[in-house]
Amino acid sequence: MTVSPKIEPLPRTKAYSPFAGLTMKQRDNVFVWMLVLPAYIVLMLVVFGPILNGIIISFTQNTLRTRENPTWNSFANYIELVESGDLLGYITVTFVFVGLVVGIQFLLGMGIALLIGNDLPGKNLLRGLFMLPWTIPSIVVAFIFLLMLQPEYGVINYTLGSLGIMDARTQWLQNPQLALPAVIMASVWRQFPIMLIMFVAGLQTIPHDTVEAAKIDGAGPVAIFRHITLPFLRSIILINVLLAIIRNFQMFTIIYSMTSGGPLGRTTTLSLATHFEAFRSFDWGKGAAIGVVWLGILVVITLFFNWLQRRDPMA
Amino acid sequence: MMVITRRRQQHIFQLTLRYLLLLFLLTIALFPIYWIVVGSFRDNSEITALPLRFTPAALNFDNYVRVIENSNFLTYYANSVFVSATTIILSIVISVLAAYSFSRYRFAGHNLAMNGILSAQMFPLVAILISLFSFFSSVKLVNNLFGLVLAHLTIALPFSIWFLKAFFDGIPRDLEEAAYIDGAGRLETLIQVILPLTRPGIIAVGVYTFLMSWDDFLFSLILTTRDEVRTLPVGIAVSFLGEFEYDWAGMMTVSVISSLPILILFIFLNRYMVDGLTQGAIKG
Amino acid sequence: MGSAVQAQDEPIVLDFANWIGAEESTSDDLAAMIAAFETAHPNIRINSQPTPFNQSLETLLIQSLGGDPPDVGMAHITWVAPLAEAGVLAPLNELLLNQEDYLPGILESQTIADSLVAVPWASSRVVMYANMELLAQAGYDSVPETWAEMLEMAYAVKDLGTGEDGGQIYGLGVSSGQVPGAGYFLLPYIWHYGGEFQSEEGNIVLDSEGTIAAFDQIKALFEDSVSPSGVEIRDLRELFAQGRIAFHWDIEAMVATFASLSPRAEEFRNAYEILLIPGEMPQTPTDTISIFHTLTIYEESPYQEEAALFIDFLTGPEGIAIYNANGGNKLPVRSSSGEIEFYAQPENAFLDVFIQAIEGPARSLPAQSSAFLDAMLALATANQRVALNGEESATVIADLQEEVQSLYAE
Repeated sequence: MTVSPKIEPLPRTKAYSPFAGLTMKQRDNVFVWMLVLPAYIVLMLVVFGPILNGIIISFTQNTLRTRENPTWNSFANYIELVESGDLLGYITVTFVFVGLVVGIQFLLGMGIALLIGNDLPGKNLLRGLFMLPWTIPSIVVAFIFLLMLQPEYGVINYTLGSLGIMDARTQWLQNPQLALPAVIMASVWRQFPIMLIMFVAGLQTIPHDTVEAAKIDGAGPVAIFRHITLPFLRSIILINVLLAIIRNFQMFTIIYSMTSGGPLGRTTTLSLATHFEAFRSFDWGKGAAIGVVWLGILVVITLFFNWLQRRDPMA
Repeated sequence: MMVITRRRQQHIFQLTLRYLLLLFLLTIALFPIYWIVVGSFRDNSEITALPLRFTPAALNFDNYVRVIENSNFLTYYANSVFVSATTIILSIVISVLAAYSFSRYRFAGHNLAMNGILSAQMFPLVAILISLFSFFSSVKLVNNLFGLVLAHLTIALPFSIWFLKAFFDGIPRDLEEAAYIDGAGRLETLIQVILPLTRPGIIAVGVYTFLMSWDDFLFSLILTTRDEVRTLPVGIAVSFLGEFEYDWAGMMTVSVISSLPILILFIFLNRYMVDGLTQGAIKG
Repeated sequence: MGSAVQAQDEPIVLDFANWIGAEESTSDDLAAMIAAFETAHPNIRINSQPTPFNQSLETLLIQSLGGDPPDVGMAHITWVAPLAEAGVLAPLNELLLNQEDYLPGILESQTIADSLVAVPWASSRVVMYANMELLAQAGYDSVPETWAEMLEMAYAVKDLGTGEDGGQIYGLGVSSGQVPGAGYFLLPYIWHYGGEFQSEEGNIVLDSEGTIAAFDQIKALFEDSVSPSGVEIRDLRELFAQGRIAFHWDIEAMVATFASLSPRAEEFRNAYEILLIPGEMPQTPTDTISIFHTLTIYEESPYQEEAALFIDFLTGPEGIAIYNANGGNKLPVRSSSGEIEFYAQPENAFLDVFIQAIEGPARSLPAQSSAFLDAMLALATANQRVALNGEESATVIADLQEEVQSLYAE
C-alpha cells in the first residue's frame, strides 16, 4: 500500500520540552523506552509472572492443608499423576475431544465455504447468518444444549425419536458413551463460524484466472479442489487448525456446565482436570503440574505445525 | 420462447442444489438460536411439557419483566459491561504500544519475549488462574472488578500483541522514514501515520477482547464469589440453576438479553471484524 | 466480610451465604426471615449471598481461601467437616446463645474435637411421595405397606406405558447424578437389603451381600425402565410434579416445589400422599436418612457476636415459624421452637407424616469425617457404573470398598 498522508505537525514544543537538548537518535531511544517499558512491566506482571509462578507451583506440595507453607517436592506431583493412571485418561479424552471438534469444524467450515463459493448471490447475507452461533456466549450455548438434550422434554430427542432414528428416551449427558459426543456437538456449533470466515476469505484470494484456465483444461471440481484450492489455502488452513487446537485445549465453560467432567470422567479434559485438582480437591501443586504437561504437549504440536508451514511448496 | 441451453440447465441445477444444502445447514445452525428466543416467550411448565410445540403458545414478555425486576440481572449486566469495556481500552492501548515496539525495534530480550507471548497463549488458563488466585488473595483483589480486568488482560494481551505485531510488520517502514524526513516526531508518526492503517487490526483486536471478556466464565467463577461483583456468565449459571429446579424460562430470557450486545456489535462491525481477522490470518 | 469501616450509627452488615435464597420456592421465606430479624435489630443488616446448592461448598471454600469469607454461612451437614478441616470456621462454644434450649445431643453432634463448629438449624427426613392417581390407574387404591408391594406397584405403573401427553410413565425414580446427594440417597436401599456403610467401630463395610443386592435391584429398575435412567434428583422432582412417576423419595419439604413445578399448581397436592419408606413387614418402615442444615460463623468475620444473634433468631421460634409458613416444613432443633403454633395445627396432613417421620427409624448421616462427602460421591459413581454402564455389582462394590477405605484412612 502506498499512501502519502498529510501530516499535521503537533505544536512545536521544542523550546520547552525536556527532550530539547537531545539528539534525534537519543530522542528515539527515549521514545522506545517509554513505549517499551510500561508494556514490558504489564506483560511481566500479568502474563509472564503468573505463568512462571504456575510452573514453580507445580513442583511444590501446595494443598489446602499446606497452603501456609508449601514445600518443594520436585517431581512428586507429576509422578502421582502418572502412576494413578489419571493423566493418561485426561490426555486421551482431550485428544479425542480436540481431534473431533477441530476435524468436524474444519469440514463444516470448508464445506460451507465451498458451497457458498465466490459467486453465489446473497453470499454476504449467508455468511453473516452462519456467523451467528459464534455470537452466543459459551454459557448460553451450554444451557441451550442442556435443554435440547434433555431426555424427557428436549427437542433433539423428541425430533430424532419421532423420526425413528433413535430411542426418544436416550440420555445423553449421563451416558458414558454419549456424553462426549454431546459436548463435542455444542463446541462445534459455537466454533465452526470461525473456520468458515477464514476459508471464505481465503477462497477469495484464489486468482480467478487460474481456476478458469483449469476448467478450460477440463478439470472437474474435485481436481480443482485438490490442485488449486488446497495448495493456495495451505497456510490459512495450518494456522487456523493450530489456533483451533489451542482454543479447544483451553475449552472449559461448555464442558463444565454441561457434564462437569462426568459421567465417570468421560468428559474430563486436561482443562477440567486442572480445575478440579485446583479448586475442588484444592491441590494446587498437582493442578499446576497438569498445566505444565499440557504446555509441553502444545509446544510439541506447535513445533510440528511450524515445520509443516516451512515445507510449503507455494512459498 | 427462450431456449434454455443445457449448460444453463446444469448451472441452475447446481445452484439449486447448493442453495438447498445451504438452507438445510443453515436451519440446523440457527435452530438453537430460534429455540432460545422461543423459550424466552414460554413459562417453565410449557417448556417441559409434552408433546413439544415448535412455536410458542403466545408472545408473552412476562419472563423479561420477571428477570429484569427480580433477579440481580441488571447488576451482572452492568458488571460485565464495565469489565469488558475497561479491558478493551487497556488491551488496545497496551498491545498497540507493545506490538509497535516489537515490530520496529530489536532490543534485549526481544526474541524471548516474542516466544514467551506465543507460549502464553498455549499455557492453560486454569493454571494461570491458580497463580492469579493466590496472588489476588494476598493483595485482597478478590471480588474486585478491577482485579477481574487485570485477569482478563492476562488472557487478552498475548493474542492481541501477537496479532497486531503481524499487522505492524505488514506496514513498510518507508512510511515512517518519509514522515521522519518530513520532520515528524516518533509519536506523531505513530498516531497519525501508522495507526489509521492498522484500524482493521485494532478493531479486530477490540472485538476479540470484547468477546473473550464478555464470555469469560472460568476466571469470573473463581475470582468473584459475591453477587454484587458477578458478571453475566457466572450470574446466569448461579441464578437459574437451583437445587430444586431449573428455571429454563428465566435462563432463556437472560440468554437472549446477554447475547444482544454481541449481536448488535456484530451487525455493525461485521465487515471490520471479518476483514481484520482475515487480513491478520493471511498475513500471519 | 461485612463492610470494614463503619460510622458510629451506621448499621453493621452481615454477609449470609446460603442456597435457599437461590430457589424460587424458598427465597420468599428467607426474605421474610431477614426482614423480621432486621426489624428486631435495627443496627444489623443482612446481606444475603445466594449460591446454588451444588456449587455452594466449592464457592465457600474458594471465598474463604481467597480472603473474603462471609460472616454467617448456611452449611449442609456434609460440608461441616471439610470446612472445619480447612480451618475457616469460628468455634461457637462461647458465642452461641441459649445453648440449653437445644434438643439433647444435637449440639454434640456438631462438635469436632471439643469445638462446636456448626449449629443445626433445621432437619429433614427422606420420605416417600406416592402419586395415588397413577396407582389408581394401575388398579391399586392404597399405599404400599411393604417393600415388596412397593416394587410390585412400581412395575404395574410402569406398564401403563405412556401418559396422555405421550410421556413415558415410571414407577420408582432413582437419581444417578454425579453428586454426593445421589450417593446418600442410596443408603436406605442398602440398609433395606441388610448392607451397611460403617460398622460401630467405624470400619467401612460396604462390601457385602446386602449392598450388592441393593445395587442389583437398582440396576434392574433402570434396565426395566421402571426408573428413568441417567437423571438428577431435580429431574425426578419435575417428573413427579408432572404426574409421570408413581413413587418418589425426597425430603418432606417438597410440597411447595411440586406446586411450583406442576401444571396443576397447588391442586396437585390432592394427587399424592406422603408416607414413610416401607420395610420388609407392614408397620416397620425402612431406616431413612436424616439430614441437617446447619449455620456456621466464619473465623475471619469481625462481627461474630452479631452473627450469633442472627443464628439465634433463625433457629428460634420466630425464625422457624416463618420458615414453615409457606410449606417449608422444617423440624425444629430447639424445644422452644417445637412449641410454635404450626406444629399444633390439627388439620395439617403434613404433620402426621412429620410426626411419624420423627418417630420412625432414621439415621443421621455419619458426616463427622471430611471424607464422607467424597465417599458419597464414590457411592454415586459406583451406582453409575452398575446401573448406567452395565458393570457387575460385585466387582464395582469391591472397588468401592477399597476406594472409600483409603479415603477414610487419610
